[in-house]
Amino acid sequence: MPRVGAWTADLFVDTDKTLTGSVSIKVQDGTEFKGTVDPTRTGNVNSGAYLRVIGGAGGLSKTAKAKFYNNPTIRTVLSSLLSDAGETLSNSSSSATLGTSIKAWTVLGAPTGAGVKALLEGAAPAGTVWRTLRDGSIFVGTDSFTEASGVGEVLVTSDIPAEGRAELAIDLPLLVPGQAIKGKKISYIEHVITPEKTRSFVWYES
Amino acid sequence: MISDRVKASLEKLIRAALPTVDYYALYRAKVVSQSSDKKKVDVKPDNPKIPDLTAELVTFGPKSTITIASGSYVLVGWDGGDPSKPIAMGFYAASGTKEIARKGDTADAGTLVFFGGTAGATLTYVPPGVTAPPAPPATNIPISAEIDSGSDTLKID
Repeated sequence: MPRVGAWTADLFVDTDKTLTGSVSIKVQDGTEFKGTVDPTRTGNVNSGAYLRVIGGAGGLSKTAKAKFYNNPTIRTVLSSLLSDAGETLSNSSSSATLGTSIKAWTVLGAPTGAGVKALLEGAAPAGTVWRTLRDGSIFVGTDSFTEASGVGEVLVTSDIPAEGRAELAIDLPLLVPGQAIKGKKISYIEHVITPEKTRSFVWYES
Repeated sequence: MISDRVKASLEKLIRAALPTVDYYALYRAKVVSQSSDKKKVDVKPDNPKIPDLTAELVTFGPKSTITIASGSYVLVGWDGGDPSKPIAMGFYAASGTKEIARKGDTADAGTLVFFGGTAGATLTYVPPGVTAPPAPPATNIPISAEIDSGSDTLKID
């Protein structure tokens, strides 16, 4: 899960069915990750199926409709971009950021993700990030890096300060980028769940 | 061949990394209309991946304005690659047929036709482009001029 962009999940599923479209990944406590199967990285093998899931509706790679706006707000442009791609803007997004006025804006017929990136890097206040949340919606705002709570006991099994990363033993994959753990800001996190254990590999902000 | 597969993968990777359209390129567009202050044009780009837009006109000199006929073609892009700053420039050669005069160039100011008949002399002015009456007995006196002033901001040789 990156701090900026869409999360992905690589799964091995015990099924002989061909999985496509929208999926919901549920973990033990009921936490859901809603995404869409990426058919280019998905396939069945003898004992099951490898599955690549991209957070959200899978619309960020779709080509955006070329549009030009005079005096729009970021919300106007972003809502149109996301809605055309079948994606949803998170209600937890920053109203102040979305309300930012722009003199004009050009959306090119390029991948929607590139359009979102250009808009937020070019017109939003410094420090603005965007990413797909667990529920599949897209958050836009700034990160407060508040200490993660309600994630259960966290045990640092490996800490490599020189590389700015650590391995955490944790019961559930609840940590997300934009939070802090033990005072360190999480930039990127990879949850690895096997039948034996759950580990979260975190990369910290430099 | 493995090397071919590697090469194909590399080419695919590079193609994926390079956008098919971007804010640092220029695109041909047809002028639809021009604002009354001559500073902006509404254009329709040829490339469907570029939207119809309103662009600030970048003219060929400071303090200069230019009138662009609808249907003319220009290049559109974005100042500094900024999607909020579309600009239009670089006019495509089209149907213009009239040369621009420079200071020092000569000008045809018409013709004076002098006729000295028995009833008295007459002097008639014939504007440029109008054929003067044939002589003799009249005498045609062509009037030429030299342009002695011009733009302070645009100079060409």
